[in-house]
Formats: sequence, structure tokens, C-alpha cells
Amino acid sequence: MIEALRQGLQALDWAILVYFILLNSFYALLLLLSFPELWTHFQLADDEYFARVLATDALPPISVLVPAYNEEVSIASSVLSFLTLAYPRHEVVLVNDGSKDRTMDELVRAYDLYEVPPAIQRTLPTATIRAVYRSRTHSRLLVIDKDNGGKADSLNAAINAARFPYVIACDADTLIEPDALLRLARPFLLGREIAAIGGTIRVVNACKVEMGRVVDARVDSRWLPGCQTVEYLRAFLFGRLGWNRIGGNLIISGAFGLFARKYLLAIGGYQTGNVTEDMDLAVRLHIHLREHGIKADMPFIPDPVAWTEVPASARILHRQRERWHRGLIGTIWERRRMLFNPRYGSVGMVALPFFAFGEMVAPIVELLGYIGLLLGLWLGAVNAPFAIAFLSVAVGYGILLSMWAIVLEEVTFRRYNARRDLWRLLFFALIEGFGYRQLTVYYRLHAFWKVMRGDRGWGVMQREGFARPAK
Amino acid sequence: VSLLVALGVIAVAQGVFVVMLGIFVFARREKLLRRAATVTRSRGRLSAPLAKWLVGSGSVLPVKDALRAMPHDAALVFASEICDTRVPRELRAELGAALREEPWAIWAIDGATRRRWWRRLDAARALGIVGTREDAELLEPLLDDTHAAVRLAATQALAAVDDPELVRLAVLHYPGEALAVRLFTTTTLRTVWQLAEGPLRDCLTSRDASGRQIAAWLALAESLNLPSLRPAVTALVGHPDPEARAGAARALRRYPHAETVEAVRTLLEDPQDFVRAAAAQALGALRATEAEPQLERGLSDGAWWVRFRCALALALLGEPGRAALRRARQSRDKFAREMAMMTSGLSEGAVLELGDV
Repeated sequence: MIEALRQGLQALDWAILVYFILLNSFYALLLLLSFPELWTHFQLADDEYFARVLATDALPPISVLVPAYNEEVSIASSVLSFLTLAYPRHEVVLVNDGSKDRTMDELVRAYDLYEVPPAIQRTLPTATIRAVYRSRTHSRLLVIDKDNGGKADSLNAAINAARFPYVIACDADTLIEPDALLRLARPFLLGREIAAIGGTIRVVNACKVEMGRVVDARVDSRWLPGCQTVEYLRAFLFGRLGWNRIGGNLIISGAFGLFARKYLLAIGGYQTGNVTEDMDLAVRLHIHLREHGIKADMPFIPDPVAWTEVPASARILHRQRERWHRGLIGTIWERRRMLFNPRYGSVGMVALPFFAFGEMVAPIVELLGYIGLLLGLWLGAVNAPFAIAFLSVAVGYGILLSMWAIVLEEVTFRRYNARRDLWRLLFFALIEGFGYRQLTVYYRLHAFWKVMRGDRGWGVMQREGFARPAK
Repeated sequence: VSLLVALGVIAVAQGVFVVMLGIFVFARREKLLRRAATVTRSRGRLSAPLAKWLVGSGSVLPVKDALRAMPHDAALVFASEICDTRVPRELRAELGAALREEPWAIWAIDGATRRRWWRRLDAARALGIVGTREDAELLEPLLDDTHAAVRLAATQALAAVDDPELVRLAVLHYPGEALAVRLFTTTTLRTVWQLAEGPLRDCLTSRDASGRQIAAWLALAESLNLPSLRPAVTALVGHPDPEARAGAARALRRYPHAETVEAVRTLLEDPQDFVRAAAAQALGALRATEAEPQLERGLSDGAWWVRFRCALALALLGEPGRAALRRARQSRDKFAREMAMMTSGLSEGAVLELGDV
């Protein structure tokens, strides 16, 4: 019995080693692919000449869609920051999703709203619209007051009301850099047919924020936000850029993504039952483009930046990561017919299998690895020096990937000016694999448990606000 | 054992690599800080001689020297910036001639035939500063480059190079260009409009061109706003392709004339809704009060965009239009009533902003 267990553990070790090599080889490939992609973007992003070119009338008009629920404290300043984005032609469509606080009253007061007939096209079904308002002081603002239906439902209402061919979905509590829309629109300038564009999300927690703008980018000294800062850099600077080259960007962030309205309408808008509406939307867009033979790109570009607050407590991080992973499981399960289906090109053959077997299953494999290692050591089935060397390589590889993300940040955009912040990034890159990684594995495993129980809730994301600058 | 050794070697190599990356990050930052200080110093040295030269009390030589002290790429960026924003057109030739043989300009122009698109971009940009008619051969392939950013910079060099054949090519390629390249071609063609006028008229009257091409050339004609093009533009309201008719309606906004208004009014009865919408928008922009009854009828059009454009156009017609909107607010037609209510509360500024789509 013990011998059979030993043999089983050895087989498990080998299986995990093979999985580790395959997965990390793919990460290395993404990293390699991200170099030319990042360099190409950086040539234009850092170009003063092109920055002047961007501020022209050649850009398509954009509707900024902002769903809001119980945001009475910050709604007036958030809307002002959206209205004052540096972009030649844009409107803001704000949807009050049946807030229970004084969000609507605050909007009416701050922007001198007056009710207009709901003369908007209702292509996508939504919860009942109570009233539509325009502002006497800001003609670019349209406010829709509707019954509560969730974020996806609000976005659908906003898509219906949007006048312009491109829409950008934002969270009311996301800080968009003033020139981010201009940068996001760069592919249009270069004549590409675009279905969606994703921008970068960065961590705002310790940054100095004035009037809804990040004026000094800083790295939080606390463990959880600090590790997440490195994690976001890694995810955006080489993960998504690498996917650009493969043609399988599956995530256009829900907090900051631009979409062609006609394609959103064609796929029926956002799905109201999904807990991570952004990935689901991107996958459905890919399906639509493939099935209709439409040659439109869905690139990620690194220089348009929106800042968001990340969880500073383990409790909130748990909720967020568990929900994200639940969304990933749900989306992959729902779209399982696409897996290894050549009809869907690189999305079906590479991206979705990677997300299924690399991202979704990874926490289970990692847990099995930890269990197998401990049991193996206990039973003598695993050679201790081998286990230590393997662990060192695994952790070292994670550190190396994070270091590369920091190098990419440093050779291109350099948002963090203070040397102290650079030290912090390096420090968090070194310690991320010890504790933080295992914590997120646990949260993601919890998602499997919740999926089995049929839990579909969102959970509450409590925020600290933007008033805690780094020391 | 061999696997264990291999893993050990990989682990050590990774460790060394991590340390090297850390050193690289800090070393690069130090280097960039030093470079930024050099560029700032050179820029500081440049501002006084540049101001003197611009007001005619100094020579261009100190400007040249200050640019030479910068790294090549920084000199190119800064020269391009001052050329675009500070140097008046009549002084550009003098600046171009002075900088033509500078090492950074030679380095940049040398990139015109390179494989890397950003090197070709630098070349196109340099030609925009120091280019002359002798550079036409060098500029021609850049105008047709595979990367839109290069084409965009090359169009800016058209004004410096000032070659009739290149201008004709730019007009001919215009419909196939990305939006931004079109915009920059337009800006450049405004400065060499005498060379652009003839080729554009030929394009507008071409029988082989598609509706989409005609629409693009109409957009160019709208921007150039040359009175001599009005008859050719007006004639296109009868084009069989609806995109061309819509383009004609949009272009005629910039050609106020009794004939123009009459031509656009016929488009309000067009079978295509986007042509009717464009016509309504044009009539509003032309402040065509004589079209008020037609626009009022347009408030009951079956297409939302036509109703919207008609309402905005009426709001721009002054009192007659506002009166029509007030009447429409009492209309039995629900769609006309709602559209009139939505727009009649807006100021003229708000209507202009709302209608600028």
C-alpha cells in the first residue's frame, strides 16, 4: 500500500514537473512576444510629435459609459473627471442603477439636470428606465435613472443611449488619466479596423490624487497592495502584450476598455448573469468576429492608463479573486465547445486552452504539488535536495517574470519616479512568491467550491478611497 | 542526479539573472537622468538664440549649435517641435537650409530606406524640417509606406518638398488613407492648395471612382473650402452612390450659396436615411431658414437619426426654427414631440456641440 502510494506520488511529481515546464515555457513565450510588441507601442506612446498629432479632430467620437450604484460621495467629482478628459469629441452616459442613497439627487444638484423624454433606441433589453436627464451646464452629459439590474444591465442601458460609434466602459470609481482616451484611440489613427481595445489598469492605492487625477504615482509599502502592484505590471506589460502577437486577447478590462458599439449590439451587449462580464464579453466578441468572417482587431495597448484601487485587506482580496476565478470557470465552461476548435483560430486553439489548463486548473495543480511534496517527503518518495532545487527553480522563475515586468516598465513608461518606489517594486517582486501566491491559490480554490455550490453572488468590494498617499 | 544538478544550475542562473536585471534597472535610470539633464541644458541654451532669431535680431547659427549638442533623436524631436509650433512658414526654409547638413539630420534622413519603421518615421520627420524639392524621390516611397505613422509624417513633409507630382499622388491616395493621415494631408494641402486644386477637381469629376472614394475627396474639398470646387461638389448631390450624396451634403455645409441650399434640400427627400440626416445637418449649418418647413416635417421621419438632425438643425435656425420646435412639442406624433422636447431646452452652444458628430 505504502509502495503504491510512493509510486503514485512519484508519478504525480513527474506530471507536475511536466505541467510546470509546459506552462512556464508558454509564459516565457508570452514574455518574448511582448518585447517587440511593447517596443512598437512605446515608439509612438513616448513620442512628443505623435502626442501632438493625437490631439486632433481625426479621432472618432466616443461615448463614455459609467454605471453607478450608491456613489453619492464621489459621483459629482467622478463625472467631472470623465467630462474633462482630454478628447476632442466625447459624451458621458451615466446610468444610475437604482441607487439606494442620494446619488441621483447629487447628480441633479451638481449638473443642473432636467428631465427629457426617453428618446433613445432600446436595442438591448434592460431593467425599466425611470427617467432620462440632460444637463443644462454640460451638454455632453446624459443621465439615465433606472431600476436596479446590476452592472451589466446598466452598461446595456448606456450602450442603447450612446450616440457615438465607439463606447468606453468605465467604473465610476476608476481614475482615467486625462490623455488615456487619446492614447486608446491611437489604433484608429493608424487605420486599423477595431472591435475592442484594452488599456492598462494600475494600482492607485498609495498614489497622490488631486481633483480626480493621479499626480504622483507611488508604490504602496503594504504587503497586499504592493504585491498586487507587481502582479498588475506583470499581467498588463507582458501577459496581454504577448497575447496581442498571438491574436487571442481574452480580457478587455471591465474597468477600462473601448468597444465598437455595432459589435456590442450585434452580440446582445453584456450578459447580465455573469460575475466577470469583461472576459465573457471579449470571448463572445471573438466568436462573433470569427463566425461572421469580420477582420477586426481586439488589441491591448499599454500606455493608456486607468488607476484603480486594489483590495488592501485579505478579506476583500479573497472576495475579489474568488469572484474573478468563478467568472473564469463559468466562461470557460460555457464556451467549452471552442476548446481546440480550429474554427475559432488562435482563440480556440491557444488562448482558451491556455486559460482553461494554465489559469483555471493551475491552483488545483499547485495544491496537488504542495500535498504531493509534503507526503513524498514524509514517505521518502521524494528526494529532499531535488524537492528544494525544484522549489527554488519554481519560485525563482516567478521572481524572474516579475523582474522582467519591472524592467519593461522601466525601459518604457517609467511611471514611478522615486527611487524608493523602484526599490519597493523589486522587493515585492522578490517576496510575492512567499505567502501572497499561496494566498491567491487558496482564494481561487475557494472559487471551485463556490461553483460546485452554485453561488452566483458578486460580494461587496469595500474601498479605502484615494486619500492615503505613500510615505 | 543529473536532473538535480540541472535544476541547481537553473536556480543559480536565475538568481544571477535576477541580480543583473536589478542592476540594469537602476543603471538605466541613472543614465536616463543624466541624458535628461543634458537635453534640458541644451534646451535652455537654445531658447534665447531661438527667440532672437525669430524676431530677426540674431543668427540661426546658435540655434544650430544648441541642437547639435543634443543626442540625435532628441535634436530631431525638438527641431520638429519648434518647427511646428514656433517657426513661421516664411522662416522655415532658412531653418531647413541651416540644419540640412547637421549630423542629426543626416542620421535621420539616412533612415529613409531602413527596415525599422521608426527609423523611416525619423526620416520623414526630418524631411519635414530640412526637405527641399530635391528630396522628392526620397519622400515618395515614404508617402506610400506600410506603416501609417510614417505616411502621416511624410504628408507633413509635402509642404517643405513642394513638388506638384507628389501633391497629385497625395490627393490620389487620400481615400485609402487612415483618418489621421487624411487629416494631416488636408492640413498640408491647405498650404499648397494651388497645387492640389486641379488634381482634386479631376478626382471629383472622375467617372471611375467609387462612392467611397468620392466621399473621401468630398471631405477633402470640404476642408480645403476652395470656391472653385463648389460646382463640382454641388453636381455630386445627384451621384448614384448614396455615400457620395451624403458626402456632398456634408461638404456643402462649407459652401454657403443659394444653389447649395437648393441642392441640399433635394437630399432631404433622399431614399437613404443617412443621406437625409447629412442633408438636415448641412441645412442647419448653412442656417437655411427657407428649409424650415421641410426640416419640421423631418421631425416625423421614420429614422431616429434624421429626426435628431432635423431637430438640431431647427434649433440652429433662430426664431423660425425654435417656433417650429415649440409647435412640434404639441404634435400628435409621439416621435416628433419627444425629439422636439429633447432639443428645445438646449442653448445654441449646446446644440452645436451636440450636433458635431
